[in-house]
Order: sequence, then C-alpha cells, then structure tokens
Amino acid sequence: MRFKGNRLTNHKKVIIFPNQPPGPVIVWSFFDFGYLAGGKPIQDWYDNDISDRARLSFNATIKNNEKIANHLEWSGVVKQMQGELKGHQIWQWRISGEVQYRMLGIFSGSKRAVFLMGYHHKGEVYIPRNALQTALDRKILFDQGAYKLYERQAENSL
Amino acid sequence: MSDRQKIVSRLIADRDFRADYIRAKLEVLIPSQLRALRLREDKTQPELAQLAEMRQSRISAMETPGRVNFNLETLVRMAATLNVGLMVKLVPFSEMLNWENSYSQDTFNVTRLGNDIDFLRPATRVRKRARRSRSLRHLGIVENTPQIPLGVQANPTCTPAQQERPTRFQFETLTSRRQNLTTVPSRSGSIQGLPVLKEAVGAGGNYHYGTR
Repeated sequence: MRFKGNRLTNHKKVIIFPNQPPGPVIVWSFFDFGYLAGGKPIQDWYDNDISDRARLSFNATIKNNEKIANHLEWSGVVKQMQGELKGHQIWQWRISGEVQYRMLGIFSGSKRAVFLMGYHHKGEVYIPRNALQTALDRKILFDQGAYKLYERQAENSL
Repeated sequence: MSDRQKIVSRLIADRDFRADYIRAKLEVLIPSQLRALRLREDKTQPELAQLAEMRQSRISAMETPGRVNFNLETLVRMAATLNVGLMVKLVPFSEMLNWENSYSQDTFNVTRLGNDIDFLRPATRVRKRARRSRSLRHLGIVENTPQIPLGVQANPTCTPAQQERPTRFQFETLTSRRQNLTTVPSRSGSIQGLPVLKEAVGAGGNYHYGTR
C-alpha cells in the first residue's frame, strides 16, 4: 500500500482519515447557590468543612457527571429523597470520604443543576444539624428568585 | 499561588494526599465503568447480579462511588461476568488525568470477548503464517520477519490504550513490510545470487510472495 500524507493513493476514491475525535462533550453546567446578600455557602462548605479526600471526590464526581447526558445515569445520585425532602424535587449526591458527605441540589433549566447544601452525617446526626431544613429554605428562596448563582467548574488539569 | 499549584505542591510533598487523589478518581471511575457496561448491555442490576452470582444490592453498591472498597478479585469477577478484560496498570499522574478527562460514561464501551476480532483472529494468523513458511521453505527461502514492535505505526489519533494494539489496517501494513525475503544456501550447497526474490517467485510457479 502506498501512502501520501494520511491518504491512500492506490484507490480511485481518496479516503481521508477522520481527524482526532473530540473529547467527551460536557453537557451539564453546575452552579453554587448564593444569597443575594453575597454569602457563598457552598464555596464556604467546600473550603472549610470537608476533607481533602472529599474535596477531590467532589471534583471527580463533577467531572464524571457533567459528561453524562441523562441525569438518571449519574453515579452516586439519589433521585427520590425521603423524609423531610420528599416531594421537593431535590436530589442528592453521595461524595466519598472518611465520613458520608452529601450534596443536595435541584435542576434549573436545561442541563443546569444548582447545589443547594453540602453536609455530612454519621448515622442520624447531621452536620450541620439543620442541613435538610436549610436546603429547603434555600429551595424556597430559589423558587422566589432570591438567589445568586456561581458557576462551579471542575478543573481539567487536576 | 493558584489552587492547582497548591494541590500539585501537596501532591509532591504528601504521600497521603497522593493516595487521596488516586482514590478519589478510582472511586468515581470504576463504578462509572461498571454502570456504563451494564447499561450498554441493556441489563438491569438484578440481571447482572444473577450472572455474577451476587446480590442486586451488591451491584448497586458497586455502582455507587465510595460504597465499596474494591479488591482485585471483585474486579476480576465483574470483568469476567461482563466478558471483558481487566488491566491494572501503574501509570504517571498525567496519564491518569488524561484517562479521567477523556472518559465519558455515555460513550464508554468495551468490545466483548465474543466480538473481539483482534483477540480471536491471531489463531488464524498463526496458521496462515505457518502455511506460508512451509511453502517458502520448500523453495529454499527463509522468511525474514523483523520484529517490528507493534504500535510503531500507531495512528496518532488513537488513545495510548488503542495504540498498543494495531488496527486491522495497521496490521496489514506491518505484515506487508515483513515480507522482506532473503535466500539461504540451497541443500546442494550452492549459494544463489542475492536478491533472488523475483527468481524465487518465478520458480515457484503459482506462488507469488513478492510484492507485485
């Protein structure tokens, strides 16, 4: 066989090899909930309240799930919440770490998700204690339009 | 100092942090791969559990990041159930990062053993090569098959994993290059002139081993 560049020349029809396939498409955007007054509760939780391992796991989870078109196939997601959060269309991510970290969120528009509340729990003890109620309060604020959003992107170089 | 620089500094300095970094990626990517392969097969968790002789709850746990501490035997068992191979490889951090960045659960798929032509074909290839060697030996020709490392001609568009095994097209290219034939003294002891490829082809009648 003969080659000229990346083409075969012994064919009547020139076959052009496809270019390098593009990387996976990022289909989801994730946002942190923020108060109108300027508080950034998700960023505060990320910076201060979780371990290094959980922080890395959170990033890895974002990087994985942002490329999955169907949110029902997200890994580590609980779609149907029970108890206080039942019926509020709030979902939960499990984030692995030394303790069971959780992130509560909601959908907002096409392929957009908003993180409402991060917490962890040991058994029935939630930290912070009012985590579920706070998530509900933020959901109400969100529905009323009293919020700010901050985009959260998992850095590709980490 | 940027966040990235901080993390890189810690990675360099702290062994535990390096372990956390590796663990964080594997805890997400292994369950994601298992889920992806199950979904590609249109199987439910109970169906897969039945094949793997496990409980459905265990399959569910394995597909949830951080719920299971995978050991090698579990992974082997799942790979065998899903009819795929398993590679556990120590790599540079950059390669691990590239793997994570290029990985997508939506597009991830692995050729199952039954459809793995690259794996199933070599038996045929060996038989053909043996038949050809016998025919050449009959003509007093020993086939010189230089050991061209596979992947030398690898397509630059392939991922490193794909480059390890040549595609069918690359394989044909490699084998055509391997048809460098040399002569050896015939049994009578006389040395034929070199190269004698054309003569050998002519003498062979119906045999055509040279490139035409």
